[in-house]
Amino acid sequence: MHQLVGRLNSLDPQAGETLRIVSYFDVLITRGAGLDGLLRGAAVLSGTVAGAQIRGRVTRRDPDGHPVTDDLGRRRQGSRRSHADWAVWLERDGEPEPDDEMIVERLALGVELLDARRSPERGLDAIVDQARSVAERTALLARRRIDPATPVRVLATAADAAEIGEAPSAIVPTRYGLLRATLDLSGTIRRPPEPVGFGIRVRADRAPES
Amino acid sequence: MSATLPRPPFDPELEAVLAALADQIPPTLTAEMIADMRRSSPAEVTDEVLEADGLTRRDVAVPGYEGDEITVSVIAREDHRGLGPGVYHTHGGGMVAGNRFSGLSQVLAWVVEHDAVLVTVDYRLAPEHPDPYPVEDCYAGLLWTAEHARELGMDPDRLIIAGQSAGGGIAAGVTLLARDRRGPRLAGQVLIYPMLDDRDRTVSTAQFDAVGVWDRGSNRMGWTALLGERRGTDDVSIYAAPARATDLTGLPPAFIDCGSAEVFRDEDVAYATALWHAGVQAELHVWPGGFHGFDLTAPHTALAHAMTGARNAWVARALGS
Repeated sequence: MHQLVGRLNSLDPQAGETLRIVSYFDVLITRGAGLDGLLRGAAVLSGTVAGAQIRGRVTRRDPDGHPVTDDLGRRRQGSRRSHADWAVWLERDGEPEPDDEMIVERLALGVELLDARRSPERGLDAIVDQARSVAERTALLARRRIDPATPVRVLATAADAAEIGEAPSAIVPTRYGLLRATLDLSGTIRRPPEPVGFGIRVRADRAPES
Repeated sequence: MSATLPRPPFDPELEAVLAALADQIPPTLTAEMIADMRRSSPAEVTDEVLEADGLTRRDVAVPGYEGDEITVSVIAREDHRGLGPGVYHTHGGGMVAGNRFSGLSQVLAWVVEHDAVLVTVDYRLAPEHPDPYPVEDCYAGLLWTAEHARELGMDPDRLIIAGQSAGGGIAAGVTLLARDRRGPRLAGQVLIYPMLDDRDRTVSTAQFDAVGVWDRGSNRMGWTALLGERRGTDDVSIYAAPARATDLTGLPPAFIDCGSAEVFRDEDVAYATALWHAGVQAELHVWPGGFHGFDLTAPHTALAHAMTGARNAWVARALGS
């Protein structure tokens, strides 16, 4: 039944495997797939049950993509990532498989992005989104108490890089893949240790141009 | 350029699968790849799977086209007694590849659920055996099945035909042959994303050129293997390319499904429409953003669950259980 897993498992080079996992989640995230799609992806790629708990609500999917509702406590949780509002994991009885960490990391990235997009204080991804109207972006800036004329710039770092200090950031799909966009309001952000791209300084309501 | 034609996007989960398997599913299959296609048939059902489902299998040599021997497998529940519904299966593989176990997972559920007896046929493949070998081998296998129905534990009045892709086209062709030769009376035809039209002229054909799964180039390759120089000419029978049939009256009820993002979309929709015009009952599902055969390649996705559910529900009604 698991043709995909069969195909994936039949491949030996580890590098190819990693690329496959990253490509799978990049498409899901870029195309705005929901939690169920992310969990089905993690389950089919790992060949085991993938679960998430978001603000207390637990969802689990098996590698056939079906919901799992058996007793959670009896299952051993393998690789796991958690955050204040959510947690994601793979369930294994035995030892973790080599790709588990990578899969759960991409799953976590997807859930983080989904949670940010759907949370009421959302907005940074929309503020830097060219497809949104100036009016919409201005309204989102106002909600964050940012004057639309404030000079800002956008910093781009790898999607899995740490957040830069307290500055507002979001993971956004770009033509270079998924990147973390951080809004530099003060102009005083210190250069992070990892590679970073600096946008030009623009008015806040023109942030997508940065 | 056809590459710039607008086309329905792939479903996000299905696009993720395509991205992950990009190096393993080339959009365009060429004649040079036929040997590879025959070696790797990923959707094949093994004896292990049959055993796990509580099914038994026996192989029988039966007369094919012009009396040559072909093999069929008869698959039933271990506890099968008396007469159950019958399913006759014609596998996919672009007319050039596959065997009687390819794509069988789609129909095995009907054996388990409805205690049906399944006969699946190894027809001879193009290009070594061009038209009419595939469709005539399959018709000969159907004749044998219908003649031996009771002895196989099958109710002859509840026999349906089912096939996917090239096997879906063959199933439609065999159904036309059965009508025109006054052969076995089929209770239904399950045409799973069937390959029906050799003429290479629909919008969906142009939309899925060098993109997706079983694209325009692959389709031309398959039809050329089957028909050779005759592809696209007036010298093609309705049994080889059922889209060419102008009279669909008197056919059994049909179930047709396909994806909106595949070459076969338009010919499959047209066939369902032509069946309705001819007064034949038909159920049609076009799954949004589905590429060819997505329920076999990506069975874990929401769209595959929906496709399988709708198809199995139709079969449950057709088999009267």
